[in-house]
Amino acid sequence: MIKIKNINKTFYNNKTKIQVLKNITFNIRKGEFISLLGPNGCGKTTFLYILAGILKQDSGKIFLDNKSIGFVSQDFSTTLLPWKNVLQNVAFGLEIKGVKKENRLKIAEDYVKGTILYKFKNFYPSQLSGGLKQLASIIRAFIYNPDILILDEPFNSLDYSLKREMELMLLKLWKKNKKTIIFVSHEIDEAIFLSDRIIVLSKRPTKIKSIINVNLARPRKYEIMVSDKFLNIKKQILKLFNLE
Amino acid sequence: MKKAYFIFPILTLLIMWFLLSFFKIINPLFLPRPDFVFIEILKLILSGSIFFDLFHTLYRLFLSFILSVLIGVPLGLLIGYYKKLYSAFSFLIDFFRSIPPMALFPLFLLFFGIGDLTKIAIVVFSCSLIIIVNTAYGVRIVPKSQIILAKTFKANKFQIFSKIILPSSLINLFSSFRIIFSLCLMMIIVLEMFVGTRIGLGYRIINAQWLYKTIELYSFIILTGLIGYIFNKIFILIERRITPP
Repeated sequence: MIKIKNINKTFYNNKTKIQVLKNITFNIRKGEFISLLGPNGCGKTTFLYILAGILKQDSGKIFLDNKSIGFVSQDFSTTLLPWKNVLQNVAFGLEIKGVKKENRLKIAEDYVKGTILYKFKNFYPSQLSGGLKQLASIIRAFIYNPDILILDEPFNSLDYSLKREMELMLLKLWKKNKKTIIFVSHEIDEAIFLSDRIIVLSKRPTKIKSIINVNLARPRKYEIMVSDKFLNIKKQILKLFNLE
Repeated sequence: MKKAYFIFPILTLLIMWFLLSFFKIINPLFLPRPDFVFIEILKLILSGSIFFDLFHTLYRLFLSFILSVLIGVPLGLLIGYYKKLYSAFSFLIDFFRSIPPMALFPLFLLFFGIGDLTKIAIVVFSCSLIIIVNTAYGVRIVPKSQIILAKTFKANKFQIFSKIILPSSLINLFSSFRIIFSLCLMMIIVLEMFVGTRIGLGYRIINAQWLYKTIELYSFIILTGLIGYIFNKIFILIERRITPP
């Protein structure tokens, strides 16, 4: 279990002081798919950076139990290294870990096999479409084999159907690899469809408004997006947003 | 057949040149006939008399280019990586870079004498400064997201440098090498025209002019241009090879 306790973070820009996170407290269960849902600019990315240890919080504690973290960022167009092809990019985490070249490329190939990316395994990032790029960076995070995987609005700039396709792919990878996933989104449908629980965040300074359980059966299919259960949860979240 | 188009402007230029010189519309002392120039070029190549000068020019050119890279790239990486060094040295670098290289000739002559050392020192001085600036810039524009990516994989500082910053900035840098190489050639040719040189394409150009051997003058100018063109092409080929699509 991951415990997040009273996280606060304030940014100072010359004279202005912007409080981004205010008393963020919640727990994440092992193997859970949890979503953070909140408006743009509410400090979701800041929170993730703190969770991943890239930024430091002003106060509060995170108990990770030495669990390793993988990160998929929202600007996938720049996080793929332009001088590496797909396989080399996908294997980059292993390269940092010190896995030998032949070994890591073999592992990368195994992961890429069975996805649409396989045909493009020797392509360079500039030759890939947005969806393929993001798929590559998701696989790169999975291959690193972290205990916790953080995805920061990963499907942001993809079109509707591609987004749905990628969601299914993500659920498949999640099921196969049994990771804890922290998924950040500003889209209600996406969050409900994917998650076990949804943490609804407010505008800045960001507080937790509510934590919603998504009791929908798995494996999920798109039909549930129009089911009563789904729509009820959606109503509940919409209500939360309107209260602001 | 798209490729053949490049031939027409060349032909037009040659025909105009031929007409202007053949009918002596321009004094042949200033503009000799192109056929004479080409025969002269052939003679220079077939007799082998060009190669001695060519070799010396290329030797100066490569030596100064390689030295500039060897000095400029490491210093540029250092200055780009450490923000404090950058702000400490940016004024000096910009100031020295703003001095036209040829203005340094008398001073360097004083220090290094009339031999090759002066020429190479001037070119290395100017070009390594440009390379420092370009390299440092390449380091500073490495996308932050790539560094964060490496950090999420728990990369240490050395790994971030060697696996992200170095390749990213070198790819940016390589395209500027081509321009710096042409700049080196330009400076070497001009410097060979100054006192104290007895060998080199620049010397042969200025010498031909002193003796009013215009045909030879044109031959050497064209040959020098060809050399610049060929190396430019070679650089483009290497660039395509080593930089990602």
